[in-house]
Amino acid sequence: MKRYYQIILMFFVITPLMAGCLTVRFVEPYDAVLDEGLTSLQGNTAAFVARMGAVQSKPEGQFNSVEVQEFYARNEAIIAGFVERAKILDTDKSCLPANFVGDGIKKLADNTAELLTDLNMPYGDVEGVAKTIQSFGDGSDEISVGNCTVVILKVVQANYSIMKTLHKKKGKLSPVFGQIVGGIVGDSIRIAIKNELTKKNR
Amino acid sequence: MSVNLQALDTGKLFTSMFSAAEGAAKSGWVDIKSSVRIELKAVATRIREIGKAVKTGEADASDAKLLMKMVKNNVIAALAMVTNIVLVTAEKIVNAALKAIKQVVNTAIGFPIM
Repeated sequence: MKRYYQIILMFFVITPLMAGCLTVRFVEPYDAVLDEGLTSLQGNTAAFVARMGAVQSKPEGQFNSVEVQEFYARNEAIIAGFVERAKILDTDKSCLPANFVGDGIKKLADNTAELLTDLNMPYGDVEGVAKTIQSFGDGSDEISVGNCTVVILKVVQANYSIMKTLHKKKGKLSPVFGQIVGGIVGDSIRIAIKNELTKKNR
Repeated sequence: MSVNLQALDTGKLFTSMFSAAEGAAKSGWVDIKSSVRIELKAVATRIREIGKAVKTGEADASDAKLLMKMVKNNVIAALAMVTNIVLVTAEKIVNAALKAIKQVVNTAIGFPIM
């Protein structure tokens, strides 16, 4: 009799578990539209920066040219769309608690000392650079609000905006300067693509 | 109905779950380590480039400040990305363990519950 009740109990415990909870999900689903959009943005941005370097002395390479203005307007709108899309896909979760960015970055700085030594930094002082990175964590940052995908896309948005600001300030993007600023924006987009691929390959 | 209750022993269930979870955790950890390494290297490389640009006069102090702000933003993005990798790894671990339970239970009960 005891065995009979054990079987019944097991059935009523396990069946709901199997029926309702066979797969759990802690991160929102993969978004093919976002993945393809980011990949396209990555290519367009790299091509734009390369072109700006090539035509820096010409009218079309100046910040005020129609081509440049249209490029920024178009891509800023696309990126804003990405951010809104990511917000809609997962409205409940937050990614980084208030002190997480500061603590995370400080840990990052402590652990990169060896790596920075190997790279022969122009500042000549690894400790100085580590302190610079540590200062990144000071203060709260609106960019850190939202689910992780939203945070990542807001970084793409913010860095695109800074690239535009720098382009306006300098009037043009020289090959060297363009490589630096375009490279950093490229890193931002790469992180966003990697984030989508993580979800795709789960 | 013939049920193999011995197969539903909690110790055996746990062993099966743990083995499946361990496999999922190992592959996830490889991805986490690789991603963190790539992003740390990118941050360090960009900082070096900014330093060189200041040295050569390609960038002035206010340019460098804005460029460093961009690098800081990328550190935040990298932290968020790694957070998602960790969460997806946790999903895989839990789901691998649940899948292991399913197999053991279906075999023990003698017919597929799911």
